[in-house]
Amino acid sequence: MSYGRSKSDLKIEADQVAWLAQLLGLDATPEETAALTAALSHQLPSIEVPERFDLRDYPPILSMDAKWYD
Amino acid sequence: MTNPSALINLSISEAAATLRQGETSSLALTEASLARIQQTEATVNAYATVPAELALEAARQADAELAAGNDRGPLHGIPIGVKDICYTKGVVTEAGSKVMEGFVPDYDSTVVRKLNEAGAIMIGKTRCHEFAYGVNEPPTRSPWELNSYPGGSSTGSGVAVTVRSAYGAIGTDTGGSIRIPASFNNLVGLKPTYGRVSAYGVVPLSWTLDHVGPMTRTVLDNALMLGAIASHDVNDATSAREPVPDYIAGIQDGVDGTRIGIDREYVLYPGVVDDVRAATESVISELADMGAEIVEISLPEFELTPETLFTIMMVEASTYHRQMLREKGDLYDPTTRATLQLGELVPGTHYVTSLRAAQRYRSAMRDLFQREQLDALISPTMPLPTALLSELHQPRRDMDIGETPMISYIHHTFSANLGGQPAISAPCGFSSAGLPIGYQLMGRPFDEAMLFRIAWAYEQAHDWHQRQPTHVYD
Repeated sequence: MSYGRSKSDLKIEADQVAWLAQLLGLDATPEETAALTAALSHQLPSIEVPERFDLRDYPPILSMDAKWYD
Repeated sequence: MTNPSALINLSISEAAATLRQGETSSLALTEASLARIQQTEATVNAYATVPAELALEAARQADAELAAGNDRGPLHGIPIGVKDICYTKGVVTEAGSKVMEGFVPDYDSTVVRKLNEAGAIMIGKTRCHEFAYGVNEPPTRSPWELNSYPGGSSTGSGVAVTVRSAYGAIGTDTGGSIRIPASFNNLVGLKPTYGRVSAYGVVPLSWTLDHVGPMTRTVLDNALMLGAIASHDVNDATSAREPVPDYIAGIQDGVDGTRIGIDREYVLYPGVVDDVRAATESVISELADMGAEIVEISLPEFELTPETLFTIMMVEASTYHRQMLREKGDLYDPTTRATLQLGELVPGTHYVTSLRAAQRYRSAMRDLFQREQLDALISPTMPLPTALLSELHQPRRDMDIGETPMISYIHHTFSANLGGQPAISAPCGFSSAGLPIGYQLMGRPFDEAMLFRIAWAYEQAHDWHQRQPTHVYD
């Protein structure tokens, strides 16, 4: 369900994910919460991959053409 | 020419020529396609909806217009499939999901409007992964090996064109969804430059990464279709204002003097199987023999593309579906629902960091093309041919690289979505098991013409693109 090649899976408890899901208004069953916990443990460390590169001089790709066109 | 089996095997350009020579009619082409749908659908299930009466009516109109001298161009009267995430006025559009069951748009997506203006006949809405996410299993089957993955998310578009029930089809590509089914179905699939084809009226998966493009049997057909659907569109904030060139004008100019780069370490990584490696090396060797200069390059930023794209895609998809997930959550396929839930749990800082990484990747790619004066980069499209559906999400059996086939499939495709540059997949051979293999060219932004030129030159030396799966016909 996630794509991450990090070697360091994060230790997350299902209770934490259940709490967060509830906070966000997600209707997650216990089975879904278990799967989400595993996926999130894998997904969150994946940010390490882009962060291995120096991003200081790179603003995010966000653009707006403020001109109004017909 | 009235023999249906002869008609369905024509390419778009051949059918267009035959139409203008008065040897066939749009009605005959449309009837042949509808008959082919009848013949193949029970096996491959490529279509979600086939509005046969509308298609026949449009074909009669196309014939009348041609007879009156009103020629709308090469797609006039040609049956084309449209992925079922593209809005079609008055025709049900369900995006492969029960969430949209029975939904009938009251306007056309711009790509469908452009096809209509070009006189194309919409033969049907093709099946796709739910909301084009690529995580559930659509009912479409591969005509090359019925138990194997037909590719996605433009699943039905690829299968329809390969079984000859459509002459071409519209697909969408957020991480490879045109090029993956093109490669697995022995087709030419183009993900154009970001913003080249309007995404207005196409159910979004990820605004930053979504592309709309053509899937065809030949390179020439692909260029013809792109010429018809590319435009600026005020309805799409991401639509490009770059003029649309004539994609056919230089297609036969050959590759002599072109410079084609390859990052062997990344694109021929250990996950690439021997058949694919050999086929890719063969393309490179032949292009060099034709006069192209092959340039060995290294782009470390390739490494950041999978995680970066996946984070952006997940967060944007979950944003689009946030309300529907709460109102109709039980209607989603469980796999899609789970991935949408996961996307809501990804921190905003990870999303913005990924957008910064995308900027770094794009800058590095621009610098590379400029420094090395490249016209294209080459790679396999897929590291391995299609796998059994039952093994798609299991660790690969053929090598211990910590990847499932599904993860391997995005190794070469994600980068062009992240950078927005055009990428084409075209046939280059078959595996020892008889499964299609494709190669990919990535080009400079808005230089699709160069990709067509290189791919056309290679296509002329082979008959790969003419080969078809046989058991569906028996």
